[in-house]
Amino acid sequence: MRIKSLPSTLRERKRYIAFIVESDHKISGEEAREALLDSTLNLLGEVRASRLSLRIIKATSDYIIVGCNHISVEKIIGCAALTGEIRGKKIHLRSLGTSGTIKAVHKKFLSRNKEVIEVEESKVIFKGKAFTVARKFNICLDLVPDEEFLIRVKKLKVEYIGITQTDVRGE
Amino acid sequence: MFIDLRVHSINSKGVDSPSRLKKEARDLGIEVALCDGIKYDDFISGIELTARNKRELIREIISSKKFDIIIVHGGRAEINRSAVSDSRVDILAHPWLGRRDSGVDAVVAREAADNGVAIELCISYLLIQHQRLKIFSSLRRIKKLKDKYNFEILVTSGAKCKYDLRNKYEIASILYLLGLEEEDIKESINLPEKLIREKGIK
Repeated sequence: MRIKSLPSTLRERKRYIAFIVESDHKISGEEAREALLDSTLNLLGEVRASRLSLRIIKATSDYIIVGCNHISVEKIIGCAALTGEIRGKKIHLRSLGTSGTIKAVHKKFLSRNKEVIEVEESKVIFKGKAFTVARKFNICLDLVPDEEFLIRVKKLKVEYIGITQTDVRGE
Repeated sequence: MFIDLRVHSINSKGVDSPSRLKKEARDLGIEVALCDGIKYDDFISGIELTARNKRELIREIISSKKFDIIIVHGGRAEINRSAVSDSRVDILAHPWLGRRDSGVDAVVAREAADNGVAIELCISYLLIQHQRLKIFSSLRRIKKLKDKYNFEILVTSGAKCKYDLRNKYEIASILYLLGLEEEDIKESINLPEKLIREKGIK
């Protein structure tokens, strides 16, 4: 038998936060979920984290929807902002906004057209050297690092060098 | 608008070009100042000075006049104290670096308040988990001194790539997590803009 839900006066006010997953690497939904939970538990500890009523509604490779009570929104956004890496991959969980229902989260924040990432093999000249283009979207280009930048890229746990079309035209 | 006063591009320690960082910052609703030690025409340009002693620091400050923002790489007690004693310095970065204490004592706090040198809180160090505890406890001590001597705490991202940039709301949430009060949070977020306005930088 199911137990009765709390009287409406005792129920917590719910909020849903949408986060977008940003990374050079391919991040699975499971990794994104782990990154957020790790960061929250490390920062707040189990006792304080339990007061957030935190639950992850949906975690995909592109976005996460998190549920919490209305007084914990700032804390969760703060914890997500301090997520730096997961399993040696640079990651950033950028908050898009907060809403009172899951439907509204989808409508307000996740219905926008996603930037189309084109993968095309071409070469561009940047800083007087030829680089291979790994990804292209809008005016942004992600380049495969050469030997000079490889150590720096590995140290920062990213995969590509980020430039724009203007950098290429300026050469 | 929040201005991030310490961002490194591919021309120093970073991996993204200045124009890419500008684009990403615009998407986040912030502005960036590049701290590459290079004078840019279309960016607020800063330099991070590293010195072994006071004499070397003064020499470096004199030779960095052309930069909009002068940041001193803190850590050593001598450098921390020399940096805050010079009104040409804008920011003392991470005074706790390589130390057991916070690097800010009553003398440093008083000098920082008198000379208008802001003490930096860099978000990129908070992303490294094993350093957080030390920074949080240092910040608690710095906060006590701030309440007494009224110097300014400035927040930067210290970003070396686009994923390290944080928008105004994320920074406010981080400061809230660290236990700062609403007024202090507002003050810290508006400080870079105020600093730029006072210096007359376009």
